[in-house]
Amino acid sequence: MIKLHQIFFVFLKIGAITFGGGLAMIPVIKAELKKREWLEEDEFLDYVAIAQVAPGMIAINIATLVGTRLRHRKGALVAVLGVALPSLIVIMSIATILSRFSDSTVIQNALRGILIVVSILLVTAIYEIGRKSLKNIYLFGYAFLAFILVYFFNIPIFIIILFSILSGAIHTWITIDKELN
Amino acid sequence: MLEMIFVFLYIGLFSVGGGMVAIPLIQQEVVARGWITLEEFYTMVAVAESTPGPIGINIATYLGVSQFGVLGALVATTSFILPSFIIVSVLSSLLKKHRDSRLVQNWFLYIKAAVVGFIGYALAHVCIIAFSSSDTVVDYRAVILFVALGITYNYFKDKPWIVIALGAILGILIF
Repeated sequence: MIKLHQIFFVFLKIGAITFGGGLAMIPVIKAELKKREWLEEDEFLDYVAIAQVAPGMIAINIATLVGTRLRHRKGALVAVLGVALPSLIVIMSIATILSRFSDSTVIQNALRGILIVVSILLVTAIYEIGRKSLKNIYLFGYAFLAFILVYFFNIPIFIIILFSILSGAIHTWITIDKELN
Repeated sequence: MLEMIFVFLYIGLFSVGGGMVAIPLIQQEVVARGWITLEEFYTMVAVAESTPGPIGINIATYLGVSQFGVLGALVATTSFILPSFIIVSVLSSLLKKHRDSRLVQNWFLYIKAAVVGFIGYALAHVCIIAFSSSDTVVDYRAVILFVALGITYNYFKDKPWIVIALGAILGILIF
């Protein structure tokens, strides 16, 4: 049987070495699990798909699913703890250091440089997600409408998400109706 | 503290369609409440992007620690993880069965399109802070940096921290 501390340390390692968020973690998690022969690849890909439709961070969702599969609830708990712990420690130290020096001009200028990189990362995210999901002019218009509503009218994001779920349901209902006729 | 718990439960529940969605969601809740300024928030995002771990967890931890210290970090991160942890562990078989159904596919057709708009909202705010300085609307030095770092990023897509470190160094040198 796979020991709980083994699960914990594997996910601790994954949380500590992967930069760039959940999607960047998928290949790392896959490699770690394959090396230890804990899961078949098909099963892992199944979990990745589920993690993306469930709410929350993809990395946390995968940790929950893999942990559950290996050692039920306790496995899920130690996997999630392992993957989140490096973030907690690293960020807490940085936040403490940064708050002490945040008034210095050197730090201010460094942060401006970093913010430009953040804008590049966001442009890339928009391009990557947009290329896959804005399949036609209507969806393009839908994305633009979402932007206008949030940016100019400050509509809460959850309202737009609930509206999207409703739109998806209506869309399904209309297309199924057409096929039946 | 109680308010922060509810805010992060809400954010954890509605972060659908990838980690980047957490950025506009957290911004909308936290900056409007006056917990931190827009500049502080994007400083957090910058730190979250340049450290290992999931972006959303990093931002939640940073915000928690800045508001209530170590306890705040633990509370914010736990509340953020809790909704998806419960949903995924309880409903995994249901999710597995229906993830390919047409209804779920169509939900994500619209959610993902909206997500592009949400990230656009975050981008618009970052650009205002990053590109304008006190005396000009658009600082040409920032534009040059944007182009140079954009080209660099293209070569280091799997190692964003290299580009972030470079951005910090160039920021100190040219601003």
